[in-house]
Order: sequence, then structure tokens, then C-alpha cells
Amino acid sequence: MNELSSLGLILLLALGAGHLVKYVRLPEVTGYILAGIVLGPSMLGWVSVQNLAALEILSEVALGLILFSVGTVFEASRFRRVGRQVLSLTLYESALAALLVTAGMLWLGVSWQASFLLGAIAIATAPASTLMVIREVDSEGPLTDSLLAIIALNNIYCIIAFSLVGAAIDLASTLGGSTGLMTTLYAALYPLVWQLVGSVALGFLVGLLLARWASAISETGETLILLGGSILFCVGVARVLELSPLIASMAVGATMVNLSQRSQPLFTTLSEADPPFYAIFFVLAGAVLDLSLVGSLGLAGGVYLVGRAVGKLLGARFGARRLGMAPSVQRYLGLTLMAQAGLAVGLTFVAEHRFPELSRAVTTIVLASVAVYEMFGPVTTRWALIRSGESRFQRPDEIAI
Amino acid sequence: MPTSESTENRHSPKYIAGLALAAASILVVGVLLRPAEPQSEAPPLVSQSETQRLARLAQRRALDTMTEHFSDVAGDLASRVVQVGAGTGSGILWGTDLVLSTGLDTPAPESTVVLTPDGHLLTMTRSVAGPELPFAAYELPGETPSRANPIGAARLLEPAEWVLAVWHRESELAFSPGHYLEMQATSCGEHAVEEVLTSLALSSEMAGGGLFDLDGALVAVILPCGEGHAALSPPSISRLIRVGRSLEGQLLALYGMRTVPVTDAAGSHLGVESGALVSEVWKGRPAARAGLRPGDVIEGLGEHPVGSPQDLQPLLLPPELGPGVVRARRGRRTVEIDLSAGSTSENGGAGNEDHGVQLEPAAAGLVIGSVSPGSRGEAAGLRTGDRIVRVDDREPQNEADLRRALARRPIFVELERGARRLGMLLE
Repeated sequence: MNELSSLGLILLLALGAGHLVKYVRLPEVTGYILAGIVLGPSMLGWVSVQNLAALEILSEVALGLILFSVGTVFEASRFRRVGRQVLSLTLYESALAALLVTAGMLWLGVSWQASFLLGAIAIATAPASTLMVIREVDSEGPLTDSLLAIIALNNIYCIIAFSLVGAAIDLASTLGGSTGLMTTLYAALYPLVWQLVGSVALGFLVGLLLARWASAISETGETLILLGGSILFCVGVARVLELSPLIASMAVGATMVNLSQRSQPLFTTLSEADPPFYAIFFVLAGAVLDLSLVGSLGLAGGVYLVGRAVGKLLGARFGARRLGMAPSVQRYLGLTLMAQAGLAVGLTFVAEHRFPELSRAVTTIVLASVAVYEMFGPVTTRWALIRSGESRFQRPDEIAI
Repeated sequence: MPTSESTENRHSPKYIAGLALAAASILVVGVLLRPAEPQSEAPPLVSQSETQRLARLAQRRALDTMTEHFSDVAGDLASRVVQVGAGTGSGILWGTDLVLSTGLDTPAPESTVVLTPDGHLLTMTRSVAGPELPFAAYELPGETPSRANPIGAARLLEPAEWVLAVWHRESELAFSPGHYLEMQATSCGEHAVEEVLTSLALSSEMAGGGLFDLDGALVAVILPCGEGHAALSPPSISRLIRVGRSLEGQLLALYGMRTVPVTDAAGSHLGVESGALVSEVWKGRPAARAGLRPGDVIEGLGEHPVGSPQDLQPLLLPPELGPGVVRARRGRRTVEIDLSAGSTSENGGAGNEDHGVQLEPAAAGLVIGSVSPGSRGEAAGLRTGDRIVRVDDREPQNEADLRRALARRPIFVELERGARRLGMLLE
């Protein structure tokens, strides 16, 4: 099957699956992902590995758009309101999840390098599927606000932790080696600083361009062209410069929302045009999941799954309570943080490339548990948002109508 | 109020321009500060043996692609290499109206069939053939759409350049690739030819097929030559076709005989003044079956006198229009020979045996063991292995007899060489 027919099939089946899962009260995202699993190489194979490679670029576009939207949580007035609390709260849930996973791995006898890498990767929460669920249930309220901010920060923390662990592993392996300590330190810490500072700088420049140009445009179509062009350009340049497309896209959104008065109509326009990209994104995300890995999860995989879940749950609850946040945040935030996807897989491939000797343990565990989290994460997120009373199904004014 | 003021500050163009400048310089400095990639030391992602296996796989795929290419080239040549006879041999389309094939039988049949690439079975008539030619050329019937197959001057091939032998095996087109080595002057029967040497081992199965370069240009035609097979260059083939089309060549093909003008020396020895001296007769061919033999001097065709071999032209006419009886001087007698009798009874050779070809016992052993350099025997063209059959119309009975006969001069010697009987005057 060629790329175009694959793409068409993806969109149509995603739509169908999205409708179907609503009957069993699952989020649309899960439907898309299930459609992807069925279509993908691990089941029917209608979307082949070659198709996946060819369509990967669409995934990147979709992820760029999603993170652009996520970046809007850094709007100055809003962030000033919840910023400090959320920074600490994210630290609680991230640290506890990383701690439990790392401790569990060490307890199982996994090498310290692999244990810490897994701990760092466990921090990541999938921004895309979480955002999709928020949009689907159209939730509003303190839980949603915290969640949006946390999925933005969470992934930055994850990248920082991963880089630090990577630097530590590099340093440990060169101790007593021929390479100078400073050289190793520089080589190890450069990616961290570069990925944070450089990505923000790139995102700021692109966001500036976008904001300035957007004020001169009023037509919807042109707005979409400008937006698409900026995001594609940003992601592409980030790839070339080995920056983080994730952070750069968020920075574009953050810059845009703070500099342009026209940001609101722009995001409305975007949310009208982007659903096909998201459908493709999630179907492809499902297609690359290898279900056969779930069977090979093993004890270590189980510990990773449980450690991360418990860490997120307890960390969110404990942190929210200490920070005196709303009861709904205390009770439900942990459940909304379960989803894990692209970033975890991406970091796994980085780890594979940088530390080939560790790759076997890390790759199997992460890929297998991502398959689990990717399917069940959106489900718990949806459930938690609805139970918290923030979704449109429960908002009193809408019930009144 | 201070808040809104600071917001104002933040949105002032100067402030934003400063930020943009800072961001741009961060990117530039970051790129410049990038540490050198330590990738060279990183172990490869796949193991050594896997890399080798993949490399070998890629090589094999390249070979497959190459074979596919050869197959494609051979497929394109299907219109040039045709199936001749009842699916038994290959033939090359030569020019617009000829098909070159091996003499499938000896002698080549008057007509044969060809299976054209578009599936038509056509009957072709023999155009050029001859007992000493390595091929027989057949003329395609007139209504055949003429395909231009320019033979042209053969391109000079580079050593080691790919060539493709293409021929018919049963009803399939077969091909075999090889390398061109060099051109070599050699001889095929009595004819000097140019042979194209390649790395290919030529087999009898390939005979009638062609050797092509990868652009589809004909490089050589594979033909039987001497004991084995040779790939003969197109210019050589053209020359041989010209030979075959000459009067001499046609008489040879039609009757299996060759004549020479009567020289003064021969005339005085044989007691004639003019005519066509039969110098060569091929065994089993019409002339031999009709009883003509070397040393006969053809003096007349029916009523027409014959002064030289050129006067034998009427023999090429079909039998019913032909001149009829050939009058020939043999020694002191004049014999009348009906050549058409020999040509009509294709297989009736045995009945004519008593006319003249009374063969001496094979064990008679009057075989030339050596020819001394500079001797008159060498000058006349005698060769080791020739068997002397007759000297001046007499059959020598034994070696002493032969020596006596050879001692005279001049003498007319009739000898057997392979499938031919030759006559020559030793002066």
C-alpha cells in the first residue's frame, strides 16, 4: 500500500475508532491508538514500516503543533498565578516517580546506569495525548490548569534529568581513562545547556516572527499558513541544530502568547485545522507500538510500570496537599499524569545510541511499558478529569442548558 | 500601576530587539561551542558479521540486477536472433532480407522455415551457401516487413568489455555474458576471417546465434569453423557473403564444383585450348554424383561452347531452362554429363557411383606424408594428408608406381582432401 492510501485509511479508521470507543467511554485518543495498533506492522500490517517512515514527518508536524499549544500555559499573567506552586508540584511528582523506579531497578540488580536512565525517563508524561483528552472533555478548572502546566514542565524536567544522568555515566566511564575530566564534563553537560538554552532561544526567535507577522494578517487561511510554516521551520531547524523540538515548539507558543494580542483567535484557528494531524499522529503512535513487547515486559518492566504509577500518584497527592492546592488537584492530578509516549521513546533511542551497552535493558522496558501507558494513560486521565467535575459534562452552567 | 508599566517596558520594541539579538547570539555561540563528536570511537550499531552479511547481500543484489540487465538486453535482441528450422537452430537477421544460419545439413537445404519474433512461420529460400562456407544465408520472403538491422562497421570494443551471446535453445532465447578479449585473424576452411575472441566457451548449441555488445550492436556471429566454433566479425561475414554470391561461389553451392581457366601449361598438357578446367569437386554433391571429376575440361553446355569459367553462367538457371548436357574433355575422350541428374536425385548418389568415382581402397595408403619446402608439390599447393587418387588419368597401384608417375613432368594430379577432390597441375 502506498503512502497516500495508508494516510487515507489512517484518517478514516481513526475517525471510526474514535466514534466506537465513545460507546465504552474511552477517550478518542485511545481509539486512534488502537486503530494504529490494528493497522500497524504488529497486527494487520496495512501500514507498513516503510509507510511509517514516510509518514513520520507528519507526526513531527503534529507534535510541533501540540507542543505549540502546550506552550501557551506560560502566558505571563497565568503563570505568575500558578507558576511557583506548579514548579514545586511538578518537582514532587517527578522526583518521586524517578526515585521509585530507580530504587526498584537497583533492588532488582539492574546496573546503576540503566536504573538512573530509566528513572529519568519515567518522569516524562505524554503532552499530546493528555492535551487531547483535555480538549475532548473540554475541561476547565484548577486541575486542568495545573495539569497543563505540569505536562509542559514535566518534560523539561525529564530532559534535564536524562542529560544529567547521561553526563554522570560519561564521567564515570572516563574516570581513570585517558580523556581529560574537563573535556568529558564539557562534552557531557553541553547537550543539557544547549538543549535548554538553545531551544528556548530558537523558539523565541520563531515565536517573535510569528507574533509580529500575525498582527499583519487577518485571513484564517493565511494565519494557518503562517502557523504551519513557523512550526515546521522551528522543528526542522531544531533537528539540524540538535536542539529539542519539544522545548523549542513550546517556546514558540510561550513567546506568541505573551507578545501577540491576536494569539487567542490564532489558537482558535489552529484548533479548527489541526485535528487531522492529531489523528495521524496518534494512529502512527499506535502503529509503532509493538504489542509483542508487552509479553516480554518481565519483572523489571512490571517494577517500572508500578514504580512510575505509584510515584506519580503519591507525588502529586503529597505535593498538592503540602502546597495547599484545591482538593480536586490533590485527589485526581496523579491519575492524569499516567500517559507516556513520544519523549520516552525518543530518549530511549538517544540512550541506545549513546550507551549501546545499556540499551538492551532500557529499550525493552521503556518500549513495552509505553505500549501499556499509551493505551491506559488517556483512559485514567479522562476518568479523573470527569470525576473531578471539571469537564463540560459536569459543569453546572452547561447542565443548566 | 507598576505592573502595567513593566508590561509596557517588556513590550517596548527595544527590549524585544535586545532579546532577539541575545537569542540569536545564543544560537550562534552554541553551534560554535559544540564539542567534537566522539562518535568515531562508538561501537557500530550492528555487529561486524552482520555488516559483512549485509554487504554480501548488497553485492548479490547487484549481481542479480546485472543478470536482469543482461536478460533485458537479450530480450531486446529477440527480433534479431530468430529460430530457424523446425525449432532446431538459431539464425541472425542480417540486413533487411537475409537470415544467417549454420548449414544445418550438408548441403544446406533449398529452403527452410523461420519463426519470426511476432510468431509467424515463414519459408525462406536459400540464397548464399556453399560447402566451404560456415553459414547458409536464406532470403526472407518478399512480403516480410523489412526491418532495418544495420550491420554497419563494427565498433571497436574495449578489452574486457561485456558482450552477450544470444541464441535459441529449443524455443527459448538463451544468453550468456562474457568479456571481449581481442580480434584474431584466423582461417575458416579456405577463407581468412576475423575471429572475435571472448571469455565465452562457444558450443555447438550456440551456433547460428550472435554476439552483441550491451547496446545491442552485433559484434560477431557464432558459426562452426574447422573443428570447433568461432565468432566471426560482421566484415568477415560480409566478405564471405560476397564470395558466396559470385559465380564461382554459386556453382560451388549448386553443384559442388569449382573451375579455373585453362592455362597454357594445362592446355598443352591436357590437349585443349580453352574451356573451364574442373579443379575441385565435392563428394556427394551433384557434380560428383553426375560423374564429373577434377581434370575434366568443360568445353560446351548443350550447343554453347565454353571458353572460360565465365561461360558457365547458364548452369545457374533452373534445371528445366538449363543448358542440359555438359560436354567435357577427359583425357582423349569427350564425356557427356548431365549435371541436373545429380542435382535432382538428392539421395541417388549411389546409382552414379560407376560413372567415375570408383574409389580406391582406403587402405591403399597413398597419402602424402610430407611436402618438402620449395618443391613443386608445395608450389602447386599439395598438403600433408592429401591422398593422391589419380595421376594423369591413371590410378597408381602402389608406391613404386606412384613414384614413377610423379617423376614425369608436367603431370595432372587428382587428390582427395577431406570432403573434396582437387585437381592440380604439377609443372
